[in-house]
Amino acid sequence: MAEQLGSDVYQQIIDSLSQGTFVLDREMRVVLWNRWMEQHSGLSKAQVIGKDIGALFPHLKAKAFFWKVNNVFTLGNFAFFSQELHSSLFSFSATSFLNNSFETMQQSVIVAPIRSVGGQVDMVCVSISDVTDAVINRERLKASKKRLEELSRIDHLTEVANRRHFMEHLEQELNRHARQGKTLSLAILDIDHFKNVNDEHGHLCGDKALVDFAKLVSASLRKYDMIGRYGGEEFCLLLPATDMEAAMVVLERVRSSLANAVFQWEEVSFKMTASMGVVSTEDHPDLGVDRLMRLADEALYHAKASGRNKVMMA
Amino acid sequence: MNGLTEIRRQAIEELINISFGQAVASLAEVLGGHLQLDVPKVQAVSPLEVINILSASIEEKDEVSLVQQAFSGDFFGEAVLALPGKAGENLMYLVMEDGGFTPDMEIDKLRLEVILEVSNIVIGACMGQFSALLNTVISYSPPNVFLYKITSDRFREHIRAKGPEALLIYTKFAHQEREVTGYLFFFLSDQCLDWLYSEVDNFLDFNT
Repeated sequence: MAEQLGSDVYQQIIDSLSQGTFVLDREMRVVLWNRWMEQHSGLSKAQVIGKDIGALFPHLKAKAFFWKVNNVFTLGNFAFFSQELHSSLFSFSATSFLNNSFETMQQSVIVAPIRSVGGQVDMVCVSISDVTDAVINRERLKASKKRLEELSRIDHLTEVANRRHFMEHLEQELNRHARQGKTLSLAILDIDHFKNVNDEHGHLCGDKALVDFAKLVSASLRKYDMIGRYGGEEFCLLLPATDMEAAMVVLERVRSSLANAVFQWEEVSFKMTASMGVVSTEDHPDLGVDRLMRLADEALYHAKASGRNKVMMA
Repeated sequence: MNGLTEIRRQAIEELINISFGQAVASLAEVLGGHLQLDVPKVQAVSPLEVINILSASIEEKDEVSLVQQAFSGDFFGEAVLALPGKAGENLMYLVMEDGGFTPDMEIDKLRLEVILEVSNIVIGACMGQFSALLNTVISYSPPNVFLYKITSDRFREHIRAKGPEALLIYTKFAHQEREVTGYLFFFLSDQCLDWLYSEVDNFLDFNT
């Protein structure tokens, strides 16, 4: 049956392909140009047959097209142009206008040797696949994965590090500082009388207050310090390469900014303060995360017990 | 690997040596200068040995560009071409100077493109000549390139062979004028070895 197919049948088969197919001879002249190529290039068969592909598409030289096609003629291998490296070999418009973030079609291209009876490569067949959809899906998957990773590290309300991420980072920093013989400081902050904010102004106000509180604290830190939400109205601060004396300067600045700030929600204005407990590895070397947290927590307790709105050392 | 008798192993080595020698001649046309391939070695390996052989064979221990390309046909498997250190950059200059064009690509992408294409043609030339000697035709999947430190866990995770055993063909190549050295590994799946040994036996019968 296969031997009985006439050339017009082969032409119909080639024109029915949902990918670009064209053939070049050794002089880079077009000898075959399928319907897909006509539709996407805007060039008919009559306009391209017998013409130099480099004259029709001058940009191909800069995309290493002729270098690779010549290798196919010389060596008889297949050549590949991946979308990851080239995006598009031919600047055809993307076909989908709903659900598409690319104006230019993303393409994967294969160049195959076509041999004569004697085995010599006389022509090459170039196949262009539209992979725009696959690329869009791949980009969406990457973005989703990135967002998922962020979500797993960030507190959704205040957008600072969540507890898990903060504690993991603290563990890593403790180990690093111990290896390098450096000191870090750890502080726990607790908003004073936060329950009153919720009771008097509602939970929506309370949520906004937490967001603004986190922003204000973040703005008062140095760029390599880290803030995390431990839970409720409690936050932790990691101050790398910082001894107790320096930590007290940073925390006093944070405390003062908070005390002087006016928080706003709709027509309501109010003030908030925070109590803080701080511990330094300089004074308590070789302690693990849990023990340090407990010491900072005890110092926080003393700050609360002695009037609030203050910083206490462990 | 019961099928790989010593006489078969030597025959495959000889066939590969002839094939690769022919490949070098045609590669010289494309890459210019003088490309040299060491005499290839053939051995049976288990999947666990694959990574150790790769690590031990590659003398440089810094970052390595790894190109993987699957091939299929009557015999099938995967080729791995390892290009250590600055080989990628040196190849890039080779292509730009001999190719006589200024590519319209970011430099990092151009380096990857050159590594991929040179690997594609070296792998294609070597396997192409070997398959021609065996009167068969094989086809290739698009190559993929990765960059790893050879001692890293990711390198070990990446090269994880399947199946109980494989036939390994290994050689080292060098392009002296451009200071490019690379390592070429071909892994033939145990599932195609019956066919391969039968062809090798025919070749031996015909030539003895």
